[in-house]
Amino acid sequence: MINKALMAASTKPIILTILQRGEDYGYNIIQRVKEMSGGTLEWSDGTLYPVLQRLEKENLISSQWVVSEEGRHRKYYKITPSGRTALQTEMAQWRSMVQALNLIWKPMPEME
Amino acid sequence: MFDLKKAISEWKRSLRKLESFEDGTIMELESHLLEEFDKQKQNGFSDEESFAKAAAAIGRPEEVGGEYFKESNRSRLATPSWQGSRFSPGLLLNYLKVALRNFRRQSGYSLINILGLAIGMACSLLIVLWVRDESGYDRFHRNGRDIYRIITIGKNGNDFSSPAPFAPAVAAEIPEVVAAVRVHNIPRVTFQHENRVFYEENGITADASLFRIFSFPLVQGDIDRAFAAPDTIILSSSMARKYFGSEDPIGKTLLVEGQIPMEVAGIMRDVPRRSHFRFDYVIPFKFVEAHPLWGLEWGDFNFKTYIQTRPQRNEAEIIRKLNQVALKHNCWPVVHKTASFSIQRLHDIYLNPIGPYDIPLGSRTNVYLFSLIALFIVLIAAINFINLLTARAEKRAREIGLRKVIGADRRQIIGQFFGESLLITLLSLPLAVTLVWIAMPHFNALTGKEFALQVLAPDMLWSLAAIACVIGLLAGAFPALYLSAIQPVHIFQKSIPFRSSRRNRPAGWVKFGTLRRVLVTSQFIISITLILATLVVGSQLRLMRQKSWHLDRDQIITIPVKENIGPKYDLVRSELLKNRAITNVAAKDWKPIGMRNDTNGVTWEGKSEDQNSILMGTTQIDVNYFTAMGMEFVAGRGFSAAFPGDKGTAYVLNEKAVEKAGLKDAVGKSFAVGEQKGTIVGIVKNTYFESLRQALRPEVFYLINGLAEDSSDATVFIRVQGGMPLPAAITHIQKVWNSVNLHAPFEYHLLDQQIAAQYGSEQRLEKLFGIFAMLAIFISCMGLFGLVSFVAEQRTKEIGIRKVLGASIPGIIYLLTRGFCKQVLLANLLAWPAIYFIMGKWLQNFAFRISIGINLFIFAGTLVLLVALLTAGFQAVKVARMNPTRSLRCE
Repeated sequence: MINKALMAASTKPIILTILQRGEDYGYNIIQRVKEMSGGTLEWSDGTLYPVLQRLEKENLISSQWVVSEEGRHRKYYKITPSGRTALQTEMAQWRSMVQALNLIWKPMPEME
Repeated sequence: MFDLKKAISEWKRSLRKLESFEDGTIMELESHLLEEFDKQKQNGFSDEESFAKAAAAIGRPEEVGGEYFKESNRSRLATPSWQGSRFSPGLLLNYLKVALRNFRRQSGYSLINILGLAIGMACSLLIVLWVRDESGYDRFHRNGRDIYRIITIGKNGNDFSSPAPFAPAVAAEIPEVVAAVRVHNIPRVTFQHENRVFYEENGITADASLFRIFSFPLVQGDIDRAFAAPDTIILSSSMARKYFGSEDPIGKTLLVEGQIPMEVAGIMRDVPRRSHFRFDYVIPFKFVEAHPLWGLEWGDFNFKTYIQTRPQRNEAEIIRKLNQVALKHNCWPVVHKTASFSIQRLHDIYLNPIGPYDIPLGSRTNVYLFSLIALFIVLIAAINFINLLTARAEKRAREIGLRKVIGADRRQIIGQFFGESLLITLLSLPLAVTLVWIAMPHFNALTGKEFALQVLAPDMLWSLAAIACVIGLLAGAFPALYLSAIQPVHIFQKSIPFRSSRRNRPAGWVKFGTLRRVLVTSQFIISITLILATLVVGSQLRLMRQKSWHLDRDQIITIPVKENIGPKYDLVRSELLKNRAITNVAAKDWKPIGMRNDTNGVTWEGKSEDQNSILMGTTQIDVNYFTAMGMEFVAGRGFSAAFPGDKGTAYVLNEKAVEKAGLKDAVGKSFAVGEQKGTIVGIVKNTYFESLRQALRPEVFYLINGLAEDSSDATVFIRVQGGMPLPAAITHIQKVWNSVNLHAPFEYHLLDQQIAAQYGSEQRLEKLFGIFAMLAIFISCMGLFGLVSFVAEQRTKEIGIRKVLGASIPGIIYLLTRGFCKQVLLANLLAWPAIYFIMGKWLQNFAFRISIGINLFIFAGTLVLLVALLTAGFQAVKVARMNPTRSLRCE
């Protein structure tokens, strides 16, 4: 189980990563976030939409409404160039964080 | 059947309630819901289940909305409107500042509020004191909860008397009864110690158990010794002081009626004021056994009996056993089923008198009535407060809107308004206490109580605080709830919510104007009700005074037949008549007014079987009685010295007696009281000496067989010519009294006053109603004054323009006052049926009553209308006469 604070911090890189692979709409994005977190997500689906809204406001992603063949309205999100840059920064930050953690934890095998 | 479309639209509505959800957001969430719904359907769930699961997956609206709110607000302190805001104590100071600023800016309105509330609180405070006092009788007895009075439930009404042997029998034969006592009042007699002679009114004779059942502590002497002999007496401390000063009274002798010596064997503490029976001395029951003043058999219902029971008892069981005891001893009314015994709790006695002659004067109805009036007056004051506050709402609306924009939620605004109204009540509290202090002596005189204003007594402080809080909350509630509902958006519009279109108005919104009209109308309903009640009580009193016996100009002075007045009656009479002012003197065997035993031992020509239960009062008089009292004859003649054979053979009946007996041409028919046979010589007109609350009794008069010494209930009636100085006549009467009497102190009464005194409680009621009605209308009019001033102030410009365009002053006055007039008229229409019903019920207490005429209603209605017009008109005239150039120039 991943705790709320960590989840909140990681939703941004997760969403940006998903969108880097291609544009998608809210429901699908959320399903994939859930898959990636191994079904351990604590939050309700609805609470991820405000995150999308914020990323759009920060100009990291953009969106447009599309009407599907069945006549269903879906809002598709697409990563922007500044979103890609932001993702690079995020990735670098997370990687150094992971490295730092690994570095601290290695001399402590009893933790395994 | 599950309707997906409906479920979705309801779900969307629940989102829309929260301000964080915009239309686009809701659309996106809806699309999510549908995708999830499809997925769940594929998993094999029904429509309803799938929808429920999908909605649950999205999350609670508040949770999701909260996240949106966080994303859109930078401030960490901000909270969405559906969550409570944090309390900030710093605001309190600001509220106080705003409140005080408001008071100062609108000192006139604040003054009306504070003064109105102060009067309202003062009234309710006085009434609370009175109600507490009235409901606190007989609470000082340690065994109070276990004490009962035995009462008689009879066919001819209930009574509180029982036979003398009942108390000892009950105490011996009913296991639940711990002790019993019989009590009898002793008539007014003189007591003498050396040269100190006084009449004593409040004496009783009782068993020794009186002091064991009730908590009347002895300060000196011993109960058992005091009750061992028949010629001992126990005095109250103040009575002992009156006769013996600082001497030790124990063992000393008091001379009763100048003949019977009584030895003082005990001194008790004075009986507290709040006791349903009070007495200054007690004579042992043995005295009654030695001198049989009253019947002591099972058939003589002469005593009051009190019992003390075990703490564990069943009242119904005790009542059953009481009647069993009575049956066993052949108490005939119980055997013949014309009466049965019951019990009454000691604590209930004062407010629930049994029968017309019970000593307690309390009345539960009055306690309820005055509590209601207190509530009414407070209500009127609170209405003023509400009206003036909502009237100024337009000004306050901007403040409220601004507070809301900055982040205040509704609860804070409500708190602020409650705080303000509590502040006003707190400010009016000292004024209320001052008013109570001023009114206290008058209030005491009116109610016959002895209240002292002890503000520092904790229970007084509590009731004060409670009254203030209740009024504060009551008065603050309407403004707080209505004003806090103002939407901030309205302050940017020209129109304020109470003028806004129906569409914009939140559900349940009442227009302030309507609310104010309703409230003003209710104020006038209360005022009119009180005025009408005063008028009805007043007219009933007038009717009773008119109907009661009275002489047009002359006065009747009565003196009791004491010592030698009876034996030397002829001499006394001739001596009295020597004074020029005294025109006639007569005698009667009974007190001037008051209880007289009725008898069914009367027979007449043609009396049938079913007339056996008819009771008639019998009165023995001398030959001068009818002429002295100015009683007129319908038929036949009265007694006179010209018919010396009348004694023992002639009867005079009043009209009622003739009617009851069903006699036609009664004069000349035979009639008998007991064994004394005779004929009816005259029919006298019905005369009302007693309270008109009771129906007039049939009465038989016959000649008295001489006045014996000490027929202490007998009375001499002395007629004094009108216009002659009364004090001189009284001095003459006293001289005659002293010339025949050695020890009896002189006393006299005016018959007029004695008759009027019977209506004391009605007179008090009229006065109290009158005072409260005046206060009610005063407070209402203060409020009205405030409202008219406010309306006029608001419409200054309109009035200016109207005047410029040619409106006349009366036209403008009409414009400003017509609304209020309509409300007064409406209040009249609503108050009339209610008062007709209520006062109709009250009048049923009286055997003779007025019919409530339309003229009373019209009078009260016109009075209120006039007062309202005067109040409103005063302000309206001021505004109407204003020069339009001035009113149009302002701002």
